[in-house]
Amino acid sequence: MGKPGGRNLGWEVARMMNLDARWIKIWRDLWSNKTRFLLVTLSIAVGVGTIGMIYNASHIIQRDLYAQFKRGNPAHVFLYAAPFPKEIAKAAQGLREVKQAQARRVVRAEIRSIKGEDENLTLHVVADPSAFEVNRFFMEQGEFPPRVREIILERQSADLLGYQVGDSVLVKLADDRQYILTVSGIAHDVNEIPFAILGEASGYVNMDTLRWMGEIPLYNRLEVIVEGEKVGKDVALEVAEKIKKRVLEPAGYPVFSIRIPGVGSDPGDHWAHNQIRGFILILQIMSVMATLLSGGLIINTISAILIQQTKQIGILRAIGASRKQIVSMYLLNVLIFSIVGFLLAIPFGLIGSWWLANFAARFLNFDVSRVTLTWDVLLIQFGVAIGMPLGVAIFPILNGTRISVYDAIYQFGLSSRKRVSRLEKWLSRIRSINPPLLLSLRNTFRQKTRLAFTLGTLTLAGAMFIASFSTYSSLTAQIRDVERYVAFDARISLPRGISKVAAEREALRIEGIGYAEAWALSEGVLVRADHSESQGIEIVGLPPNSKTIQPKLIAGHWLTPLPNSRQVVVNADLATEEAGIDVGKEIQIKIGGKTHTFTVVGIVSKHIFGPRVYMDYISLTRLTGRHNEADEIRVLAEEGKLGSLATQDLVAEKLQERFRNAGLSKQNSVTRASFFSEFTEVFNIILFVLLLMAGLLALVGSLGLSGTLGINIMERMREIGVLRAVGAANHALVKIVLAESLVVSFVSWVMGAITSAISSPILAAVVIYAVLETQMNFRYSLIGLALWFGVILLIGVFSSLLPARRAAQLQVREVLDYE
Amino acid sequence: MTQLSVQEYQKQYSDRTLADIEEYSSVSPLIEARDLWKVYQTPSADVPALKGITLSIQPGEFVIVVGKSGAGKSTLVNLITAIDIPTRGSVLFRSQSIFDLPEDQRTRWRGKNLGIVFQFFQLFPTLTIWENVKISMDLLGEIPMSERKERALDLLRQVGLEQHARKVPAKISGGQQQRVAIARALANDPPLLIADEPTGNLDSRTSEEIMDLFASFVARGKSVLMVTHDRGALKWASRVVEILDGKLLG
Ligand SMILES: Nc1ncnc2c1ncn2[C@@H]1O[C@H](COP(=O)(O)OP(=O)(O)O)[C@@H](O)[C@H]1O
Ligand SMILES: [Mg+2]
Repeated sequence: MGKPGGRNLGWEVARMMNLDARWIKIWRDLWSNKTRFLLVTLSIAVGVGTIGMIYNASHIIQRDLYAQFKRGNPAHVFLYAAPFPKEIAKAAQGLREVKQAQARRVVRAEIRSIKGEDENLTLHVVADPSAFEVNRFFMEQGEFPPRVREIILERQSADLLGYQVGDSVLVKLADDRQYILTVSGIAHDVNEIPFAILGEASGYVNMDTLRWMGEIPLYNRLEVIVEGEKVGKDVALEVAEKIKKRVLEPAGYPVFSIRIPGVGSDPGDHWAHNQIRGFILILQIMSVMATLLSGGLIINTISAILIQQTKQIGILRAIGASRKQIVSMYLLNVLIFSIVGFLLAIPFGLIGSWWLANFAARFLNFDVSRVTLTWDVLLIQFGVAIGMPLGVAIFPILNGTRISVYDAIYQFGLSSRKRVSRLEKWLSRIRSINPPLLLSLRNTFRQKTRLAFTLGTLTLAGAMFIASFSTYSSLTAQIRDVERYVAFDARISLPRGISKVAAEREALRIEGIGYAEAWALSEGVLVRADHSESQGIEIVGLPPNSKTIQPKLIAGHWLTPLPNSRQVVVNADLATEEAGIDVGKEIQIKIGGKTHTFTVVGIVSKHIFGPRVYMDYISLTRLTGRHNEADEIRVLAEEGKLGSLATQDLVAEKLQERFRNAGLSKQNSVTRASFFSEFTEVFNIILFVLLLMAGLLALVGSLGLSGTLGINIMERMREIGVLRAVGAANHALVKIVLAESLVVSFVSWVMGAITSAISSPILAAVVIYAVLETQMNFRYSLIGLALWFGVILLIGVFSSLLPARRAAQLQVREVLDYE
Repeated sequence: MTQLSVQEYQKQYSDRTLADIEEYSSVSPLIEARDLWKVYQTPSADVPALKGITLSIQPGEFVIVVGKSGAGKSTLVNLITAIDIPTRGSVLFRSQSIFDLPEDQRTRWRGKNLGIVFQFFQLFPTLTIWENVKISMDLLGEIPMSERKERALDLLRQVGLEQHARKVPAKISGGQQQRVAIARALANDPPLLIADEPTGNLDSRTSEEIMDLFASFVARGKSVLMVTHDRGALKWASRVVEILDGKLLG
């Protein structure tokens, strides 16, 4: 009796169950190549698992983040106005369209972290703590409301600043007034953009504390919830306009700006709603690609199995198996891949979604309650795991079983002698290719469908890889573009009342600073033809021959040095947001309550950080009545040259110290590089995710190539036998396989390069739009192309390892047995 | 003798006793090749492998076709088993023209009525010996599920390999493998066994054992068609036909 020892469990189970020998055969054949079994099931698991990961994660985000956000009763629109009493909120609520209105005071301040660094802080005072209903936060420690000289910190702010309940903190207001407050509680506020992203901490105090800190006890933000189910942007802005016209302005409180909370979100949606959706969309595209690739791998593998078993298929037919029976055998084969892949995909998807949701939770400051397996996600995963492999495998199966019984038994293993293609003729003309390699290349390029899948997979991986790099270089290029508008080494904000001349002179006295220039800054709104007003616009007054800006003109020309000319240059951010802005056209801008008419003389490229209007320094200071005052000093170590990182840091340090000592500004200075650090960090995360996906694709592509090479060896058994018989050494066989692998890889690189010309701008546009809601200039990454060449060479070598070993191990006797 | 359809014939046949069959067989051949031609088309030239072969086998006959290598023996076997298609001519099994059947019925016919033994055994490497025998029954599905394993072991007992039933083919010798192949060919109890050089890869002692098995099969009223280049095997035959350059002699 044969001993069961050494055989696996599957073998024993199949035997005990007295199964149809056909199914046993399929099962054993699967087990006889464990690596292949693992590769295919893992590739299905990765594709289907990614689907689960993304669907589950978006479920979690919907359930936890959006639910936590909704629980806070988010405002639809904010009105920022001159300090007003809280009764205004009641008056606003009297309007039919207003469901709820709440007054809040927000004050810009600074807080010193435990490390001794001054960070931006927004202090909030809620008008009526007993009726705190809009944009609510929830206490995690301590009591709300805070008492006098107490502050409640937002939990992420507290965490990053290093404070706990009971600690004393230093808070600074304008004019460097400093106050010590006690942390009395920790709150969780999902309404605020987290400290980790925006770099602004949030704290909550009561009005008495604010009064003690020397501020007037009034409110400056009206938070409004509009009546109705789903409130659109238009409706929210309309209602806000009505509140302004009917409530605030008649009572004598001018409105400075009307804003919908969030980063381009719809009213009532989470502030990052669009960005999250964009990010999920990208991940979805990736999961579709991963699934497609695992489909390619399945086609490859099933083709390999069919070719390897061609003779057995012939014998099966000779002993009475119908074609239908054989098709069903191989479909079962695929089904086993599918089921195992599906079973692996479930935990993979769950763990992945747990990781993704927690990553998002840390970033976006919300809590993940639990990770659950939902039926609909499970059903989608099941459908893809079962349907996709069967759907794609049916073609090679029908194709592979179509061969006649005679051909299957007697003709297999001989290179077919079909017609010679043009490519082959071309190949044979290259003298330097040695005959065995030529033979193998012929075989490779003759099997067009099989080659198509391998090439397709690798091409896609390459297109993805290069597109990721191009996306990154487009972002970098865009940053370079934006850098034109922050072309300083360091900058420092000035409080009101500082003279332009004094500030410039002081800066130039600093050793190592070769150039200084003062800007005047203001806020304004665009008054449209229908008298409605835009969101806030930054108004910059600068010397027309400024050296700290290198405007890139899209249309028209830059400001000419004609004082009081009423000419302005607008940025593309404003020009695309508002209709009817063009060179030569007049626009109306309201600055400090008065509307003025200007002529647009030029449009400069996108700034990303918002709409901006440039005008002559003198013109602006006349309009604001702040003659000879400066709001910001921008310096360069050397005129006409941007300094290195070290230079920037040095200059910034000196500028800050000198201005502090001279009593000109207590602010921190900012370098050009630090201005971009927030941008680049987000982009780095995205680049990492994209490259991870490209790496995954490359892995699957490599497996496909390895499979194709393996099939080729099977098909050329006799040739290899002959080669061995005429004395081909192992290394010669290995060289042939390697050369073949490299040729296919190289072809895929060329095709990938071509495809990337299309995929790169699309991916760049999708990513950039998702993150920044803006279109950008596209930049193709040649570095990505070159790097991918290196990667593809590695893939070529790596993919040939296993098949080459197989070829070298083939014994002449085995080849004969095969006969 | 009136012409019967295959179905009618099979129905009658299954009800008959051995004596009836023998009586019947004396008048009607089990299988009949009529004017078979096969021309292989190769890029260099057309190769005529068979040039008008006519041959019939009665039930209970042991026919050996003998000829040198390249004479066309394998081609003949491939045509009679309908593994390949003739350029001209026909094959009749119990008066039914095989090549007139649609592909799937032809496959079923082959599984039910022919036991084919190949020169290179052609067992399935990942199946055990008894599973290799059983798979024929599983494919045809005519023998009840519960009896298949018993029958497989029984057939292995008949070829003297019962003790190896649970091994894989690679673990037994060539002669043993060929006996497994014969057991597999007998699995669905076909009336005709067709073998192409079944002893071509075996030593003379093992060959004798194989020939003994064929003889016992014939003794039970079945038919055997075997092709070989080995004249030593001819003593087992009830009829010998010689093939040369694609034609039968005499
Ligand atoms: N597939 C084929 N293509 C071309 N010629 C073939 C093919 N198969 C067999 N032949 C030729 O047909 C003739 C008969 O072959 P075969 O039937 O195999 O002979 P045997 O089995 O008697 O050795 C030989 O000349 C052989 O070369
Ligand atoms: Mg032969």
